[in-house]
Amino acid sequence: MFKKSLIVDMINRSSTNEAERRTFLKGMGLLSAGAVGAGLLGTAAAQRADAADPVIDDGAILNFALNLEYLEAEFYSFAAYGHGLPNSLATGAGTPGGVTGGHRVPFKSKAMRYYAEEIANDEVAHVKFLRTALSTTAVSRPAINLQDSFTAAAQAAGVITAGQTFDPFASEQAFLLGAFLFEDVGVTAYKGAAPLLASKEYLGAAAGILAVEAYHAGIVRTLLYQEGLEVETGKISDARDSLDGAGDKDQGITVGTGDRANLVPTDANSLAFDRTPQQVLNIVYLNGAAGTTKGGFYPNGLNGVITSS
Amino acid sequence: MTRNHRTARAIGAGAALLVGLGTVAATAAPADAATGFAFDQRIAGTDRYTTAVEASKRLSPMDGTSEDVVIVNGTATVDGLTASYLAGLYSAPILYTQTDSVPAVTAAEITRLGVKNVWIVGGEAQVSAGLEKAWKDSGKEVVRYAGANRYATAAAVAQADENFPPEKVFIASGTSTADALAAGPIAWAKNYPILLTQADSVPAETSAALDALETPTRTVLGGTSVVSDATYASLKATSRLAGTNRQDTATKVADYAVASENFDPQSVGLVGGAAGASADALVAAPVSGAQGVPVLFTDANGSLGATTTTYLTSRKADLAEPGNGWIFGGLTAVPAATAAAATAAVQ
Repeated sequence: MFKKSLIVDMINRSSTNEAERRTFLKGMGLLSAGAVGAGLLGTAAAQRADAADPVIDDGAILNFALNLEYLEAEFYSFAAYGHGLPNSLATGAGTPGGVTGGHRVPFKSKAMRYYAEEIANDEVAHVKFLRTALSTTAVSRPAINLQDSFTAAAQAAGVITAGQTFDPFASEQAFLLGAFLFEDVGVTAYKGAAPLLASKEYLGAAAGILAVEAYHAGIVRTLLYQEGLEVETGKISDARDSLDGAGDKDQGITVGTGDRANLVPTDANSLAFDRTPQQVLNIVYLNGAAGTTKGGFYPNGLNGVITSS
Repeated sequence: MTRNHRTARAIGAGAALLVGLGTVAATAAPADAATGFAFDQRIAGTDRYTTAVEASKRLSPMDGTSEDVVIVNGTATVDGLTASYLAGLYSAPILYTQTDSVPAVTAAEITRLGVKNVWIVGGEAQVSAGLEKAWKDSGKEVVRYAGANRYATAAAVAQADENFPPEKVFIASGTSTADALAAGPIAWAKNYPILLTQADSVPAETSAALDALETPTRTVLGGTSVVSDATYASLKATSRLAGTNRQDTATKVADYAVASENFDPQSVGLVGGAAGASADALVAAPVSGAQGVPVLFTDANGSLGATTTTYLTSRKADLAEPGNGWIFGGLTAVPAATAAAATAAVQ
């Protein structure tokens, strides 16, 4: 768990402005506890007094992560339970939005339902965790599209053709493909964001979330392999790789010509790939152009500081 | 004979993906619904058969997308009291037949869904052998769950899943059916079977089923007038959800559904509380289970009643869009004035 002194230090170093820093501290239960001296506050304020442009600090990064967690939580909540997050978990700074699409997967297998419910519970817990950590600086859930976005993604990947639609909630197999689209992105997003975090405490928390996302990705990739969906996953992987720019940061679930399983996508050193926030935005906006600010799963863009690819 | 649907299967990529093609998210609550929570989502037909079909269409709006259907006699719903659990195992709707004939609307819905597997709940006196043969002759697989009485039928249904033991079991009165119906959406969504009992003794079939299931978490539905404390002890029950009447018990089940079973705190459904409306409550289970909507009962006379009114008012801070207020059944079961009263209660 976070140590109080370390958190105060981290927040003072990384907060964009005085108001944000205060809300961080208050949210962590530190401001009223007398743990923060006036001198410390004054120092931090002075350090940030000349900050004219948005600063990519820990708060900005965590809010970026919160945007992604909203998306995952909504996707899995609908898939597992047939409804999205309650409004109480969607409030915050920025422009709030609703969720388009989504419904419960018609599970035929209790095991598959268990998988979906466990992942849904994790993603909702991530939302709660980040919202608590960010307190009043937490961004609200932006508008999320779980309907047209998947069709656009599937068409772009060549999984379906123009004129067809893809509903990731229509079957257990479709659900796995939808989940695949998210999970590998989540892993690489947290890996890419980790070096940007100033706070070791937040870095530790992010590592914890990354590990859980990696567990999820492993589950999904394994199930997709068992279902024989390597062709579709390969196409989705290629599409992600195309959207995020140069370099190969993505792999399908098989390797070689003999359908050998490739359940753990890694580089030559068996390290997970990483993506910058901009590369992640290219994927979730379904647009590989630099400077894109909305589209795809976020029709109105993200909330917070990090919104442009 | 029973059939195992739990066996892991390798589904070809093409076939698997086709399931997701050409479909739209039609059962989701509309994100851009009109401002203000209201009981304006009514699922109803001209009779119980068409109401069941309307519920099925809401559950599976796309043609050819449900291979499974659970069939219950439309006038002997006590046999189908526990069908919600069976339907939930396959994410299936519940449709009604008569004993020796299938209403045209039901037959059309079976065709529309593209049903391949028919799961009958009830003996041949409820769904005749002739109907079973006709479905088999048309190429469908048919499995019947039936016993010598309602308790035995419930016990047979409860053991339908041969691979996974249920995490929890509900036990309700076999003669006061409202409590079991209130739990139907949870039974559907979470695959918790519903066993039936007498108030002061545990039927042998129920006891045997509990032994076979080996599920230690056993929740009794209803107060001591329908399941006595002694029976509770005999059942080795671990909790009880009960109110002062069926309406009140339904509110306890609803609270439990939201607090413990991931149901939607922002949605709620309303079903007629008269005995004759039980058919609507049963077919509501798949739709409400699929969207995580707990259900409440009106009073027996169709009015909202003090208990449900008070409960809705107490929940008005939670009930909000994009959640929905659902009504299951026609205007006789839940009059328009009752829907308006329910809306007023949450304003």
